[in-house]
Amino acid sequence: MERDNSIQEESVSAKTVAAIDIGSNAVRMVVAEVLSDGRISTLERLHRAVRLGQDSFRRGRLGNRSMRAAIAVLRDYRQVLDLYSVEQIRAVATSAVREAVNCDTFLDRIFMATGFNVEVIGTSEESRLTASAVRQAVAGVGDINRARSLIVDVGGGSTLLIVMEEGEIVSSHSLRLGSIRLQEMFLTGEELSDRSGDFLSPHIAKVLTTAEGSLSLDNVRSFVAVGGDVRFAAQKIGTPTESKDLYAVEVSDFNHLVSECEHLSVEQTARKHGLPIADAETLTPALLVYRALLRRTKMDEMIVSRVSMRDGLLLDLARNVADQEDEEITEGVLHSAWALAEKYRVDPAHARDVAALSVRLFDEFQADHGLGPRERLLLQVAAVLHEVGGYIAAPAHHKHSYYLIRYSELFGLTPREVQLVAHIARYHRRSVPKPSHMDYMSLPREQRVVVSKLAAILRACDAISRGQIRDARALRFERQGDELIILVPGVNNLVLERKAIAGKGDMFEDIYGMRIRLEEA
Amino acid sequence: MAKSIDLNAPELYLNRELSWLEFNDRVLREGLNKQLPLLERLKFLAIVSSNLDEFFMIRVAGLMQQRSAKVRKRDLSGMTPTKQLKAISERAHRMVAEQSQGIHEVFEALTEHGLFVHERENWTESQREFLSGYFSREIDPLLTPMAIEELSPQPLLAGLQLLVVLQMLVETDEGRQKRVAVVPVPGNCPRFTQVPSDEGVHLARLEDVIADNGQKLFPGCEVTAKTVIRLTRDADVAIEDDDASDLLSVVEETVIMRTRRRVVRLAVSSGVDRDLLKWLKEWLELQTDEVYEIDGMLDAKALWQLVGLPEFESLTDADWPPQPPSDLLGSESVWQTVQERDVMLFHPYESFDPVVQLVEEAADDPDVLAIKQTLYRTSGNSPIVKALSRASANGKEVTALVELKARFDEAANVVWARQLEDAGCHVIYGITGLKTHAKALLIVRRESGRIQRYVHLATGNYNDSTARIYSDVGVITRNRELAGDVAAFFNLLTGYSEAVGWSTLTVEPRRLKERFIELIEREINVSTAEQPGLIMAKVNSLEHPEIIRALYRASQAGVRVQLNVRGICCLRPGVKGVSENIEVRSIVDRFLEHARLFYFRNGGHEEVYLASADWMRRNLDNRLEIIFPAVDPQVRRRLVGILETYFADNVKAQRLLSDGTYEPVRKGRTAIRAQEKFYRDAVEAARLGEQATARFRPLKNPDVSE
Repeated sequence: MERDNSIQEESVSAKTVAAIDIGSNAVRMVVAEVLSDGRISTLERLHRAVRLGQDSFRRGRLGNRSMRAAIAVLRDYRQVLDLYSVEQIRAVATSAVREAVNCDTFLDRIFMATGFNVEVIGTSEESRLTASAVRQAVAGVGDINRARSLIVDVGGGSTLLIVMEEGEIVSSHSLRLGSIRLQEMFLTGEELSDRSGDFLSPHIAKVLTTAEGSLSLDNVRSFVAVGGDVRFAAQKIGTPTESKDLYAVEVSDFNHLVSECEHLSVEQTARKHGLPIADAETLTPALLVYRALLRRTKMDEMIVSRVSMRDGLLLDLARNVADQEDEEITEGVLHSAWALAEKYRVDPAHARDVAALSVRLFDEFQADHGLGPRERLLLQVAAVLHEVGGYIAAPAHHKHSYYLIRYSELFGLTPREVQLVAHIARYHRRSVPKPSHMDYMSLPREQRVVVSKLAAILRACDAISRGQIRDARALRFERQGDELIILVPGVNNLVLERKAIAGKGDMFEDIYGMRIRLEEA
Repeated sequence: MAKSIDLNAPELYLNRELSWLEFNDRVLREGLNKQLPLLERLKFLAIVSSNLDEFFMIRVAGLMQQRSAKVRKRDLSGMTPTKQLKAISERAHRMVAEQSQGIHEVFEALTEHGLFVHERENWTESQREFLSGYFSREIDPLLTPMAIEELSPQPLLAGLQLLVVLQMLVETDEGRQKRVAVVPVPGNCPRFTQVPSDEGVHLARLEDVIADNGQKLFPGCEVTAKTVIRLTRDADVAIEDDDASDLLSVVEETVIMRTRRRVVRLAVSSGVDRDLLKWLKEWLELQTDEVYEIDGMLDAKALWQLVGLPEFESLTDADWPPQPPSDLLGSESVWQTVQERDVMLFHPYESFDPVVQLVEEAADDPDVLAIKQTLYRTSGNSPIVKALSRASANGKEVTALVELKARFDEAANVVWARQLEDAGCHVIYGITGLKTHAKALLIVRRESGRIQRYVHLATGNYNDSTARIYSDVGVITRNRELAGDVAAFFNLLTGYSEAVGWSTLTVEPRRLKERFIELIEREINVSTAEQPGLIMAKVNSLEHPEIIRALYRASQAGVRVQLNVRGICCLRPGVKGVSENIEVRSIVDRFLEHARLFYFRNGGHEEVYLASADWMRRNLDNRLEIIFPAVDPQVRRRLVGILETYFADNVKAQRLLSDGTYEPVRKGRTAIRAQEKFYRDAVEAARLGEQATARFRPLKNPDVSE
């Protein structure tokens, strides 16, 4: 990173943060300082092989031995963090832990032994984090920023594919193609390891073909690869670029390397490249996935970035420190919400009106609800999606909306956040939350509060969006006693809206203690 | 360009052992150098012996194991073990003869200054009488004579100890019989005894005193012949030792067991009774070329005892005391200076004290969070070890890597390593199967809310006494990239992490070699006819075949390669079409050249690297070492200057010829002696600095001023 020892840096104060990533083949940590201007200065990167994926992908549960190994590593990491008196830590776990039936036991054991509160994140959050790190890394590289580009991250459990255009995330997909997963599925017999290409390539091709139904690789103009295995390949055959975090790799060189690797056994690979066995095992399966994707995109060069999901975690932590939300990520999230809305034939005009109104009201009541930018985003997404249930059937469409959203992948949101969005949308009409609503009650209390506060806004805004109130920015608000008067310019008859708010303003009144009255300005 | 030449061809390589012997010969040349003060010459003559001891114990023993195992593996230069042993013996015999001649010469010359070292045959009657009394009073009670033929199994005679051998006639039931007895010369007595005299200092050697009075030990027997011998044995530690690993990897373990501790060399006083010698050879199972008859003193290491004689100080070099480092002149504190720029230390011209001071201050500094350090060949009472204990007591996280595999000082290391552990330090004893030779110090400090990491990286060990004799370079910096890498290096050592991507350092075995080859290849690629490439390197040894081949390719591509190789050099310079652009020089002077420096012109974007590693297989393939760049432009410039000075030396420098021998570099109009110039420069810088400000105060520590 930066090499300056300059004086001005002296005056910048810093907070120490750490990101921990419990993946399927290693437990990793980055410790960094976040300067008050938001810059990140890495202090340490640690990495230790723990093959959680081997247990998880083979038997569906984490074995005691690997759990103990992971906890031992985390104990060591705790020591490092204590040394630096780290102020903020974000610890996440991905597919190996996510897919294990004893996931909760494991997380609890970690917490008891080390105090780390590990959060299991979904593939969409992984994609968001990776995309955010890559975007930062390629910030200065014009081509990647402008053209349609594909970010590929082959991990131990899954492969993330993120399509970006004009620097914005267009779509993201996660395939169950991970180096450890492939290894466990096909190559457990040692004698096979020098014919890995023969065994893995057909399977990889099949998965990709299936995925191509919803993912178009045709117009991709640049190919950005991240991940430890491809990074190793880039060190061997890549050319460094002006950016220290990026390598350029000729695809012909890469294919040459891969065909060399696929005919070597794990031991031979380890010896040839001076790699630990653990790294040699994942190398070939991972490279085969990249190769298959390169073929489909017909690229002749790829960019390999040294960044990883952990850098995305650091950016998040840095943002918390500097308290700034990444607008581009917000864009990405909304983009994916709109794609979903479109899929379910939502009336875009109504959705847009409701979203705009909701945000306006959210901002107006900032002091009352005390929620942050992340919740604002959840409200926006819920507003865009509140009517997706109509695709199933008009009656009880709020309930259909609930489960459609709940089981959708929304780029950039954690599974928990997606769940919140589903709840907010569910309460946009009919019943308010009740103790008899099991799903709602299963949320932690503070999240129930968030749902109620946001649903109340959404419900009110949905009510008054009858096609007349189009320009949310032109609205004026006046508080008079327990009444909130919304002054709507340029309309002469708000009868319908008044009627609607009379019926659906209940929840808003309950939560915010104000009745909404509409007046023509 | 003759690209068809096979760069693996044996004739392109010099044999490692013979090259080492040439190095020892250069040490001997200093011992024979009439320009040097007499006692300085004795130092070099003594070093020749201690070097040879180690060489025979490790290298020759390894080759003999190969020979016993009937290994016919040829070395780089195409020689079989048998052939190498033959050549070594021939060269070593010649060397030992010259060394003895040199010792005689110096002794002769010393008489003019009133120092007389007498040979037994030249003792006067009164001297003899005095020594006889001395023997009875002080020596006799310490002796343990052994009649070796009567003992079964054979007594194990210690290696590297002087033994007086007496052959005598003994009365037995079957009449008078020949018997042989051995009297080990006690190692804890002074080797030289002063004989009273009116004028001058007169000395006799202990082994002569014992031999002369040997008869007294065996009353009733008739001593018919006597001599002094010294055995060198296979060093037993060999199998652990990576100095010999290249030889032993091909030898089966059983052979090693069988031949362990075997005698590899017998030194015996010349003029020994032929019968007795024949008997000894048979008894010790030695071949003729393993016997070294020495005219004069055996075990010349004891000459160091004469060097220390206070009356003859005038016969030694003037002291060149370490100067305050020029980068720290006028500096209030090392911390502060390093905040502004990197600090380079050039030892022993510049003092090692700032490094000690840094650790000592860190130990008591409330803002310091952690100290991590490698300790390799460090002395137990070193102030650094004490400071680390104190730091731990002060609640800092202290991590010390203690490398126990440093040859010959394991026992001493264990003691103080335990002390560190007791003090609460996190002590690591190296990584299994990987010797840690890198030298690094990391201090983590919190400064106005930010973490700052100070790093000291060096080509030499954290040993305050060798820092006065070894010529090394160290850099103190807080460059964030370097510091991050050093932190990762310690995480690797402590097992907290596996190797992560390094941004500036090269650490891992394999990568070390690859890195050097990449740098050489890059130089080849940027070299053009208009601007030919230039590589300057200074190492202790050059033996790695892949590095040598890369350098040959560089020479073929027109890159100028200037090598300053103190010791072993297996590269053959000046071969047409292969190495005519390579020049190899070696400097043997009063300080031991130890810094490893590497310069690449890189098409004008000059780069300089420092390393703990030599260009040897043992360094680059089996060890954790550190190669680090000189990042600060000032440091880089200074290092280039230092390298150029080494190549400008025309007083102590010798040039390697194609046949593997060395010749002095011809003097130019002005004589340049690199070490002297470095010392004068350091003095001059310190003087100017003192005039400007007199704020830097070198640390006075009783442990250092020994």
